[in-house]
Amino acid sequence: MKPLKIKSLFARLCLATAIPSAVINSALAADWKQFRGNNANSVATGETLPTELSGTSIAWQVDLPGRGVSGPIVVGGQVLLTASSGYSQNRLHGLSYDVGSGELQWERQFEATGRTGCHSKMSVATPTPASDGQRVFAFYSSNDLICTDLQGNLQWYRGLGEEFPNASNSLGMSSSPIVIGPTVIAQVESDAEAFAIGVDAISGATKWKIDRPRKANWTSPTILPGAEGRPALALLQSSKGVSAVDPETGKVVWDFADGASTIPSSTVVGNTVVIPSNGLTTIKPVADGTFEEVWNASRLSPGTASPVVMDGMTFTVNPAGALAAGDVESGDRLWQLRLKGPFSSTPVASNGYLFFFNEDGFASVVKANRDGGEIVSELDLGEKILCSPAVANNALYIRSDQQLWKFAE
Amino acid sequence: MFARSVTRLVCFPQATLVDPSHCKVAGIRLDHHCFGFAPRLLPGKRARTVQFQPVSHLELTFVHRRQAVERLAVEGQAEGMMAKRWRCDILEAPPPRGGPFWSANTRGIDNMKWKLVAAVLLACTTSLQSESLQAADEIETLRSVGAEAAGAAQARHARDVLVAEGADNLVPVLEGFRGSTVLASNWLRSTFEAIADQQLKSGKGLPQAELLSFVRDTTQSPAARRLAYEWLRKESADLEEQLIPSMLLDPNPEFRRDAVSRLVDQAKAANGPKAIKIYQSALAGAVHEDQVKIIAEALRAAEVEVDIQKHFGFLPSWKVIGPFNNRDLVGFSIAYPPEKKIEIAAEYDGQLGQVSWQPINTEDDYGVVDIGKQIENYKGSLMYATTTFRSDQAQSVELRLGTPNAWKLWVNGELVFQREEYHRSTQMDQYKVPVELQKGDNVLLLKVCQNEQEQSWAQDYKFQLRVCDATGSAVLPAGTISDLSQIKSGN
Repeated sequence: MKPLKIKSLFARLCLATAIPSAVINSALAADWKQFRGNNANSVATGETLPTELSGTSIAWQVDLPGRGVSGPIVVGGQVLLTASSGYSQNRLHGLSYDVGSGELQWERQFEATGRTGCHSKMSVATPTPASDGQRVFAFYSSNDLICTDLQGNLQWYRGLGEEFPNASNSLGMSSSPIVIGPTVIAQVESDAEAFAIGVDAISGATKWKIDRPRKANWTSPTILPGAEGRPALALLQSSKGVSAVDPETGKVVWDFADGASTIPSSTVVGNTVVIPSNGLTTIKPVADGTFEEVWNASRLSPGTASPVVMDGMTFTVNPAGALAAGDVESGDRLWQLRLKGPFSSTPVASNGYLFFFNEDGFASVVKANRDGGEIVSELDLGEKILCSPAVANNALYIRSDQQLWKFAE
Repeated sequence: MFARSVTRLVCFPQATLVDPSHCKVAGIRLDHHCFGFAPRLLPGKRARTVQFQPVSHLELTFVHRRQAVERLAVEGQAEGMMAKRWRCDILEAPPPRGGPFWSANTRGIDNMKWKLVAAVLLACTTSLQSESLQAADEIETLRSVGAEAAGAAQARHARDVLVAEGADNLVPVLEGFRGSTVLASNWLRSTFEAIADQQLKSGKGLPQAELLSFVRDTTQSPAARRLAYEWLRKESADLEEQLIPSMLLDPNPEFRRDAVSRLVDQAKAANGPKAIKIYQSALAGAVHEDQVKIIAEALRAAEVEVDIQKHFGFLPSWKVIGPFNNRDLVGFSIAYPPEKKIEIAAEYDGQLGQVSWQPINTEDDYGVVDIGKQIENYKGSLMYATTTFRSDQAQSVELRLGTPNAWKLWVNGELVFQREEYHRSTQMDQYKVPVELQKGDNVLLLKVCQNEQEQSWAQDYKFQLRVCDATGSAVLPAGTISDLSQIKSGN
């Protein structure tokens, strides 16, 4: 299928005729509240997204006031986003756009308290913000953790870069926070200093802080949902492996210590944790507070993008753009499909389709089943995209350094 | 002890009763929370004053520092009786249904406390405090936030009060930036933006003259002036033309950048001596690497000498000693003899034999001392470098360092920062270390560590260090004549 550039008159007409926000808002049901979704697994359940990406599927697009690699989140009719600007990229932006119209609802700016140097490919606004549905927790490479309410009013401010000035990476930090119950959990891990912290979502006070392996780490925490009387746990990944941590206390419940990647993050489906470790490794936590390893597959090795699980299949994409599908029960590789890479963005899975955006802004929609994968549409957005998309209310949101797009039927 | 039966109210700053028929002061908490005359709430924080207007419009300012600020759910119960700014929390008992909100049981308030109330009521007829004093109180609350979200709850309410009062607080909030931490200034910034946003969305606009005057006042916080400027620009398209040309040497590096950018554009459009003169003017204000590069390239192309090292304040002349052992990264935490005492004539056992201090100079534009190239890339080693900076006065400066290696830095024997990170990239001004220089000689000692990584991108063994002020302008050693002074004098 021939890629389509969106800078067309038709696309602009589509923007001009976007459905009024009030109509959209009345139908809102689902939110996408953190990096890789509410369950941090990149799966959008019950959503119907446009699989034929083209100018007509762009509901709106808006210019952004700053750079960013962070992904958007969607909460209660708002698309929330971070960005950074200024010569030193020390101006931190928190942005809210109306899901219906793309109109800017509010913007707040802050000055970074920590170091803002990072690799040119990254940005100070690399971590994706998180929300508990009432507040937004914006995190930046400078380790500024900023909580506002949904109207943009500052609730608390943690200058973790100032509190712990050695916990920084000269290439930049990228770990996105998650929210479990009343706790915001952030990993701040570098060669010089490394810790994970649980912060009270309402007050901003530290509930716990634990030391972590002192090594540069760009992975994000993942949620292991509670089941069979067990509480939800935060999964913290590093070069050493994965630690399951009680989100209330920071106590380590179990440790997978066979090593893991420091770039792509683990994914959880049901009670199975899919870890980028020696290729791909799956484990299942068991009732006694430990876990059992299920399989390891070196041929399902992810690159920068995190693995995704959909319909009983694991999906990994390597740095060159080869998409590999594996059986989630056995780890057997089912098929491979060549995509146009390279990828930093983790794809999102919805209703049998995978939505990829490569680093050049080239989008590919792949229909996937156990027999194989098929590229059903492609679209060239023409701008660098490293973030992972958000999905909410039958719409997909993606951003580049300069733009934020909404795709919908 | 405070009476058990009294309805205990804790009121947030600037509470206002709008239904005077219900105005009876009933219960006032007087333990560690306070009203009016309580001396201290938290260490270093005085209680807010109590402000009364005529009794029919009683206006109370209470201070509560810890609990009530988290209990906003009660706010709705005051609906219909309270102005928007009223917020209260009932700590022990709900207000009586059907009756005046304030007619709680007052038994148990002792005489002394009633005397306090009476004194306050008397005061309300004779003493009005200005709004600005109240704003100053709230601004001080914002300025008082600290690490670990300390003071956030109080700051939220201070912000709400300031925002509710509107545009009159814009300039006072900006004035609060001066002397604030960056953390506190973010609370002030957020408050300013909320008020300004409110003004624009309501169509009331911004107080242009006051804000413009603030932008021009270079004694104010550079960040606050820039903030005011950026909001004024939303309403005044020609503001850049009006202000920026005169901001070449502004204390705010963003203003400087804008001014330099305009001059560079002018220079590009000019030719010959005129272009050179404009470029030289631009260089005087330039504090950012990218702009200096552009200007220097143009001037050098015109065969005009440019001393970039001096422009940025890089330190080009050092004495180095080493290598000392850093295999398996052990050396970072070992205090080799130069850390204990700098003796330029001494010799020590090094990693590969006897070592002594050797002079090393760099002619690199950006002051890079390349140990790997100028000496040798000893794997698993470390070196010490020292230099003396003579300051013409005791002053605060920034030491700005760039290195891909692990390092420690001492000034006059005091360790000012250390960082154990290898080969995660480097850039100019990678680290900014604020230090206090003494008048006269200041001895700098830098420890630079190399690891044993084999990758091609992990072979650099180098550093660059400069002395500058907070804008990034060079602070030159005593006795050095700056290029800027020559330009200022027209030479």
